Amino acid sequence: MNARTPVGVPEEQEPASGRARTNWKSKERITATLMALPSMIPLVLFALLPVAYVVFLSFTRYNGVTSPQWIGLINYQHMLKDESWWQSVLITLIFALGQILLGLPLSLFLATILNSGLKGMAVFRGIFFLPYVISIAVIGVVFYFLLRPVNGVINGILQALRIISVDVDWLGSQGTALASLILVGVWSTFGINLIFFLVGLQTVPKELLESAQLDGASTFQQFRHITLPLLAPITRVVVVLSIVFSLRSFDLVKTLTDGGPAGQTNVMYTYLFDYFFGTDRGSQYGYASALAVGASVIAAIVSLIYMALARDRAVRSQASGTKEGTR
Amino acid sequence: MNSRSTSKATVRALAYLILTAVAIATLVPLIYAFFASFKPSAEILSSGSQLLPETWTFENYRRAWELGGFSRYLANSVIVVVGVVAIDLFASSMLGYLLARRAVPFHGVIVAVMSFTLFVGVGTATLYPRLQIAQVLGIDNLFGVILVELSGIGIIHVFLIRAFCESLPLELEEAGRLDGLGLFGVYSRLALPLMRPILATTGILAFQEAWNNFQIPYVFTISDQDLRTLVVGVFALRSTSEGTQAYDLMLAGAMIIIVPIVILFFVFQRFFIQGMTEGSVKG
Repeated sequence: MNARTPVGVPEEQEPASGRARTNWKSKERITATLMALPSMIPLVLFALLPVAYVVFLSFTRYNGVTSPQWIGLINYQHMLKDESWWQSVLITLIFALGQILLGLPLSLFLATILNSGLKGMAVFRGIFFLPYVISIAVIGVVFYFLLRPVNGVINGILQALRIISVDVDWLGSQGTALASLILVGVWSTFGINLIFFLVGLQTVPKELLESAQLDGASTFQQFRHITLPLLAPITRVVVVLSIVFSLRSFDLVKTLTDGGPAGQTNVMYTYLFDYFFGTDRGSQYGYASALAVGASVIAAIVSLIYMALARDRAVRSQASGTKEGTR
Repeated sequence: MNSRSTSKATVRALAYLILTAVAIATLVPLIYAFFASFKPSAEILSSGSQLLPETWTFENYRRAWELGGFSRYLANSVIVVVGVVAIDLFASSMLGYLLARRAVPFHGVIVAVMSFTLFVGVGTATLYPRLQIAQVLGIDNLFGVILVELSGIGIIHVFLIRAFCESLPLELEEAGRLDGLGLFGVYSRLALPLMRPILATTGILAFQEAWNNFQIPYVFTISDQDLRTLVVGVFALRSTSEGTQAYDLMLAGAMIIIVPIVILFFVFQRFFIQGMTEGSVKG
């Protein structure tokens, strides 16, 4: 095996003469720059610049017509006092927590079954993953139809199964609308989390479980004391991803409840979206931008808190300390 | 001995029972919506829990296609998907290769910028400035949609391609250098053909992301309905303010989006699962 040279061009192959060499080198640099541009132009124009612009706008008053007017921290002061905003922050946290508490145990449980080596597991894996490939916005619209209160599909099925006796207006009140959002969120994402757990389970050495079994450990004890600790690293990854994704939710809420009834299921991003683009309170770009910055900061803080707690626990439970790549 | 094997059989039966129940819960919503799209609109409204249509009709699809504007929406979706996939394959493979070989100036800066953007997560928060920049550049159209979508998904694809290229052997490229190939020649003639597996993954990811995207085309087409993609068109039917939703057209439109990607998923399942798993970890 040859040692990898980190540089693209091995030195000894360059032309010997100094001038030709610099010429050649600068030509290569130009080629490399040109090759990088098709990726870098959209990235700078439509990802990096907009972040800077939103931060700038958050300190201004701006309606899109007259030029932005610098007002310092007033938008942020307004944000602190905006009760509807903090209500939507709370809803976002409940939405995220609900999906994690409900979805992750389900994914882990199903993954352990799929990992047992029974026949036909690939088919189930494919089915469970299926919702994840479908547009979450379209899923929202489809469930909006399925959850119709009168003569609706889900009401009909649940009544046939004797789970409910009268029609429920699922999207008509805050509690059931939020529950619907959480359940549909779980429905659409448990497949991907299951795949993560499956990848993790495949790293658990079979010999370890077999010897534990010989020592008389029950299946549950094996799971509790061997599998679960070994899964801790991948579990942390799955939890962080779930936190980030659900705190950044927009599409599902917009298309399933549209924040309703009466704004009671607005999450952070549907709430601030209306300050940008809404018909009633739209075009308040300065305040909307402050909320956008606030939402990003809240999402980052929650993820960081979780990562700190998880690391703390990992360090305490394993004094030897597992080496984890920090991303 | 005997009791142990029976209990094993019971556990196995229980496992299949649970898996089947979850599989049904996963598929039933989609199957119901699928069959409902073939019901006449009166039947959609009256007999919700009945799975199969009493009278089968293609009327919903015909009306969605002709009156609902879905022929146009489909064309727009196809333009966006083709644009995103083509530019993404081309651009991401070049930058991913360059980063793997550390051949690009400001290597560190570029990686830092990309990682920062991933961490901050440009998404809903920056929709407005993205639209405004596109307006200033005169591309608040489908081309703008393509570029904005690329700016969001490209980073992960570049990282995936970089990781793949780092594992490619250098001998061939060194030989190519000796034969007088330049940087682009080495990339396009020697490295690119070897990248096929990872490009299949990122290509499918790009297709899926562009086909399914909602918020970017939604914001870009608020003032120009002719540019709507399929997903935006379906959402528009859900949010009609008249009170009576056009469920018939909505379901037909939803199926025009769902059915192709489901078929594609079952054909290329391995690439989908691999790509989306790696993609979201990197993300």
